[in-house]
Amino acid sequence: MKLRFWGVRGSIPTPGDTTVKYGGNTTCLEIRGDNDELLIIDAGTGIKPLGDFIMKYDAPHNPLDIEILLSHTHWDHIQGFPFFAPAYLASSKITVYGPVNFSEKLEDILIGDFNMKYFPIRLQELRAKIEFKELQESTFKIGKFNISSTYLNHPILDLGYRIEYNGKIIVTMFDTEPYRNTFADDLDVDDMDEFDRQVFEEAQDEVNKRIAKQKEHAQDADILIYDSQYKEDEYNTKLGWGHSYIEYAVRSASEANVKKLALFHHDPMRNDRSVDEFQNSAIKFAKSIGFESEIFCARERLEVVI
Amino acid sequence: MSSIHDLVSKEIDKLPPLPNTVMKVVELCKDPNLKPRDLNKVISFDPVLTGKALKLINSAYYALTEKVSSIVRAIIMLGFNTVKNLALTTAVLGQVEKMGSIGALDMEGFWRHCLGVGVLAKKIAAATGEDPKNIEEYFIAGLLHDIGKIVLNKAISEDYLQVIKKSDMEEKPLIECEKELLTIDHIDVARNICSKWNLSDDLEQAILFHHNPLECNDKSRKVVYCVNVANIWCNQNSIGFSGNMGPKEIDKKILNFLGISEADIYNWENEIEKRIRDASVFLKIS
Ligand SMILES: [Zn+2]
Ligand SMILES: [Zn+2]
Repeated sequence: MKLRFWGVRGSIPTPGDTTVKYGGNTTCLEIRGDNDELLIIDAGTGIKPLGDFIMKYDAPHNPLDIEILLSHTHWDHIQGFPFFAPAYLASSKITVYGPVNFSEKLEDILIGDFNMKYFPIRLQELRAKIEFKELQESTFKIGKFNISSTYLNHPILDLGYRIEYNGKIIVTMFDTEPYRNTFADDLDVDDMDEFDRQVFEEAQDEVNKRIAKQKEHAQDADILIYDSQYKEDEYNTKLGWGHSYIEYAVRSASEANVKKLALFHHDPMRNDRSVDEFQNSAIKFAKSIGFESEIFCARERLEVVI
Repeated sequence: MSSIHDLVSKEIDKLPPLPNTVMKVVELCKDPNLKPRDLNKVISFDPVLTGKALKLINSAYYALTEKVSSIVRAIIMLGFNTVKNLALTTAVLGQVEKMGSIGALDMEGFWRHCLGVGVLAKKIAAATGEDPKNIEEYFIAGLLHDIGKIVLNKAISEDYLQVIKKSDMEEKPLIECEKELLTIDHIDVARNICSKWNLSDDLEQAILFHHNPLECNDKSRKVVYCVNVANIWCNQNSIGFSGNMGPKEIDKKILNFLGISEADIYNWENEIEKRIRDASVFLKIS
């Protein structure tokens, strides 16, 4: 398998001369099977250059049949979709998978708001045959890709994907925050009365269960792409925002015996230099806990062979 | 006519008091610093509410692979805010839902109207920059604004049918037809319910002044205005069925106060429809 990063930034596109190295586009990954089969994860602004690439590289040979998996429907993960060139070819077939909240429909979220107020394009101009599939936690196949999805910890439903192909494994875990026991925030465990203690213990049991599930999701991955928006000290002031920090990403990778860790979803406030620093501190931290796999900050256009 | 008054006040006497839990949940959710522990405490002491909330969490709505067995676990898994909103809506809707029964009003259409007003009142509040922590109360205020009609419908359904017919034939506001034919209207009835239930000021004002918004308390002006506008708009656009076939126009003064226009509301139409569909899940879980 091959993996290429087209957008690695979180929250908002961040172009400019201080982000040229890592890039400013929001999340998008291209995955290719050994026979060039294509799978896309997320439709942030990175899907725009990916779409242009597909038009040159794939479109001249065969009608396009493209599958897109969305981690979730926050804006930074879908905003590039209206600018995905293959969607304007009548001969293309596009299937979009993703989780939705309540009784929402993926189609409404992605193109329901194709409104002249926000976009210079009308829905009718999207000539491809586009299908939307609401996704939950499940296991399924797309061609030769075996995929399983697991809920992560984010303010809205959000899926991580485990993609297996010919014995190789790519795992995505963004956007997500460490599960934690919110029942002890202002209480000392030793001072709790019986009721509070029971609740605390039940919550802790659930936290442990969730963490075990996340570990299982990432277990033995050849590459793990993990939400690393913050450093630990920054994270402590961002509890509940739905994002993780580098130390936690490294620890998770280590516990799941991951072979390569890509730090991902860089904060828009971070310039190239500070992303470099991030990478260094992550590597240093990994050393301190005896984790020896390769660690790097994901950067646009970087290709990884797996 | 006295028999109508008797029947209505008997019906109000029969109303169960609003359970402590429900009011407690509404009260707690106003606190921006609310702790998961405190919310859980209140919910877990009410097995009915706990059951309903869990049923909802485990419904196809969330599509979780494993069943969630407690509120504590749901909070860890889905996050505190999700569970908080869910508990709040479950608590309030569970209560009003019990009151409905057959009568002159088509209850399905009636609830659709109430949901519509709740959803739109909330949307208007959000559009005017209301603090998110207060937003849910706009929904509840909209949902409950016509609570007086439920009692009328139940206590004197034959007479109430005539009232609705009159409003339809003469295209006259329902509340005027109520006064003419029954000598009391759904606001009079609601006044009694409010004092019995001891609702918060904002909710009480929204219920009592949704037809006379300019006369409400200064403190509750915004919620009353939002419910007033939402109610008229839903009636004019046949969102559900409130029995009112001769709604008035929306008062320009009120729109100016809120800083929105009718065009804004029309732009939200699809979203409102969708939100009503979402919210209606809460009515199906008794
Ligand atoms: Zn994001
Ligand atoms: Zn997000």
